[in-house]
Amino acid sequence: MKALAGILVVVFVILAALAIAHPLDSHIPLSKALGFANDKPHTKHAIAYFVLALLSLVWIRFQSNAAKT
Amino acid sequence: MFLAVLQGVSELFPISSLGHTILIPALLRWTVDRSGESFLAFVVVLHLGTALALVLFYRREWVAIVRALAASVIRGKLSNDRDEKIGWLLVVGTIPVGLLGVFFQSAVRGLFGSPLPAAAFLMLNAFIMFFGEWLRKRQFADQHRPSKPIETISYADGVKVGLAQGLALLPGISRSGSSIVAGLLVDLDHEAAANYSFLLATPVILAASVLEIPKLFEADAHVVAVQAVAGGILAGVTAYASVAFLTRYFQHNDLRPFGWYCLLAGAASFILFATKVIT
Repeated sequence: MKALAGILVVVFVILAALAIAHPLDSHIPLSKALGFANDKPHTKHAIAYFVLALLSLVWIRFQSNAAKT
Repeated sequence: MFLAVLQGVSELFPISSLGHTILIPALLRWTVDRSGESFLAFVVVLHLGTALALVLFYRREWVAIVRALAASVIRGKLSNDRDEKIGWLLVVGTIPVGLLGVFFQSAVRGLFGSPLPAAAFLMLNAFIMFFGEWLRKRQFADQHRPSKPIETISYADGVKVGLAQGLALLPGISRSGSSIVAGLLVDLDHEAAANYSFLLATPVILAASVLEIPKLFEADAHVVAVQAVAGGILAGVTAYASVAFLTRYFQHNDLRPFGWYCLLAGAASFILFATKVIT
């Protein structure tokens, strides 16, 4: 579970970076909904992905403690 | 000022603020440029006022919850603390509605942000509340499932309530109505379901308004600065009075009166817009 939480942190940070860079053409399906379309900056998406990364870090913290006890 | 009062009341009463802010200007034939910078700035301040009223009303709960959550993260372990459990329930309940809002809000508003769908969803909101009340009574009587306190519901149930709150992306479906119904169906009583619904709504409304704050500094936004500040204060005062009333109301009453209101208002609006009496 700790490994899964770690993978999620990396995935969400990458998604946040993609939302900030928004490199995809806006006609690509779901690119707007996921915040990757190049029509405008997707600050809300980036913040949402960062929050999820942060929550995944909290999950790692809980898992580390569970492993110790 | 009318919009400020409407926002303060309808955001927390289970009657859909979004539905009302679409229907009432259309019924009164107001020409509101909903995408104009000055109008958007005005709406941001109204939401901020509502969110701050909720924070103020539940200030003791929020201080205890934030402290318990911080202690839990530092400790790296869950405990049996009531505030901590409620805090994590709010976190897991906020994730689905937050994601639904970020990913689908624009698309949903684009598809359904006009008076006719809003009127239809307002009627659906009524049926959700009637159905929720009926189902809860059956659970209570037939399956002998008594009401329980908020902190005893499972995290899966917390996610279910959060998902129900996500229905409020549809204009006409009430955030508090759908989450109170979901709360009832996971065995909360009306008072606990309402309190949980308002606590759950606070981070969502606060985050939504804080993220829109840059709109206050756009070129035409200053035109409505005075009206926006006055409106924000009025929306906050109205929201505070609404939540104070509703928390007392749900100690002994249920959702049905709001259901009847939504059914009648939705049906009347639907007929007026469908028959093009009002265009």
